Amino acid sequence: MNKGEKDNFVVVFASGKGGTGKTFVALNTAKVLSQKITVLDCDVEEPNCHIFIKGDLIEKTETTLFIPFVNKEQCNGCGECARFCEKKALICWGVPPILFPEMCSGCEGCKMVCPLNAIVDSERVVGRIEIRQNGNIHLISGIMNIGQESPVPIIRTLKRMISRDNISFIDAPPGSSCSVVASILKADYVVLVAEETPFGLSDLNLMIALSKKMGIPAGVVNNRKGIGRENLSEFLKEFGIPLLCEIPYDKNIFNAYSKGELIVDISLKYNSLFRDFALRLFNEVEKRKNGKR
Amino acid sequence: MKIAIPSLGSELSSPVDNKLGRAENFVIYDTLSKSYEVLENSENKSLSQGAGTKTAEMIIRKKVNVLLANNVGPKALKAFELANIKVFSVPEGISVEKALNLYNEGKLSLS
Repeated sequence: MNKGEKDNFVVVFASGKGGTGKTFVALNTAKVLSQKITVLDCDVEEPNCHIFIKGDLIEKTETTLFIPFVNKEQCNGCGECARFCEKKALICWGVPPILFPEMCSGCEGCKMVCPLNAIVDSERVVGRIEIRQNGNIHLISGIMNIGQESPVPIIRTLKRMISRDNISFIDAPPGSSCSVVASILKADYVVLVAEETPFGLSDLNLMIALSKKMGIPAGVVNNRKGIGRENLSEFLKEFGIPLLCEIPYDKNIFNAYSKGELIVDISLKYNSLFRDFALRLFNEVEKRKNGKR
Repeated sequence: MKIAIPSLGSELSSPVDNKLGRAENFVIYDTLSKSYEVLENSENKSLSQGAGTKTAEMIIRKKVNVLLANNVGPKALKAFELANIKVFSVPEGISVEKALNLYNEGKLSLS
């Protein structure tokens, strides 16, 4: 880490299975760093980083997305737009199409295929972005509005806000579908927070496959070690993926977390554990970045 | 007048399908000729998203006047409303024929 302030890589904390500790690992790691860091809360359906990073709200903006507006005088009801729409947000039966805005992904395909140029740009609000600052942490949270079908547009907006002047951590949503793919895309490294349960390893397996497919190097954190009967080290052997850190199953961690506190702020033991992890992680990221060049 | 009913089978004696977008088939009954045709819904029901709205589109394109169904979602209902198709709710588990009879007797209420 001798490059210090010049580091500007992007690390995603993902897991597959929910509740394994993505937010916990990401925020405690961010907190022990001395340099400025951007944290993106990409779990826009249930953002929670702001509970632990208690900074004042310094900016709040609405996130909007393209939706088609059909100019009824120009439309002959041909239905090309509805046939094209992958999300089935438009239907048409010989009259100007009907739009179900909440189903629209904003791809603008309908506008492109309309032979009469009857479709023009309109927009709708799908969520908002909130920015907080606390110490070295610049927290950018995405919040999806209730009733929206896809978190992806908000995640894309968040990712455009990544600063290339400093390191960024991304707290990904659970699962291994579109929203996780959008969170991981173009990142330099993925930290997979895992637990030694059958579900934990099954979902870890999916995430390892996903990061491999996306060509993004990955490392694993064993959180709540001892919670289940599976053996993570044994499991990882066949994948050649490093185990970066082991965090014990400790009641003190729960007590702090349930009060919205970061364990690195109140425990020297865990402060040093997360410092060691950060060092290991950054070395690993640098190694992979240099390997790519 | 044409009446559409989601159906599990392809006969008038078949039970009404309690789904709309993911219904197996639709019976389109013509009250003038007292005949019916069966529309397969296999394409729409396997959609990952938009089965309800696409099924509504298909039924509207058939120039139906009335729909008898057990369960119609808010998006499909909006589409039927805009296309001036009256939607009546039918009880679960009855046959297509029974649904038509109840409609003729005026015993069904609007959804």
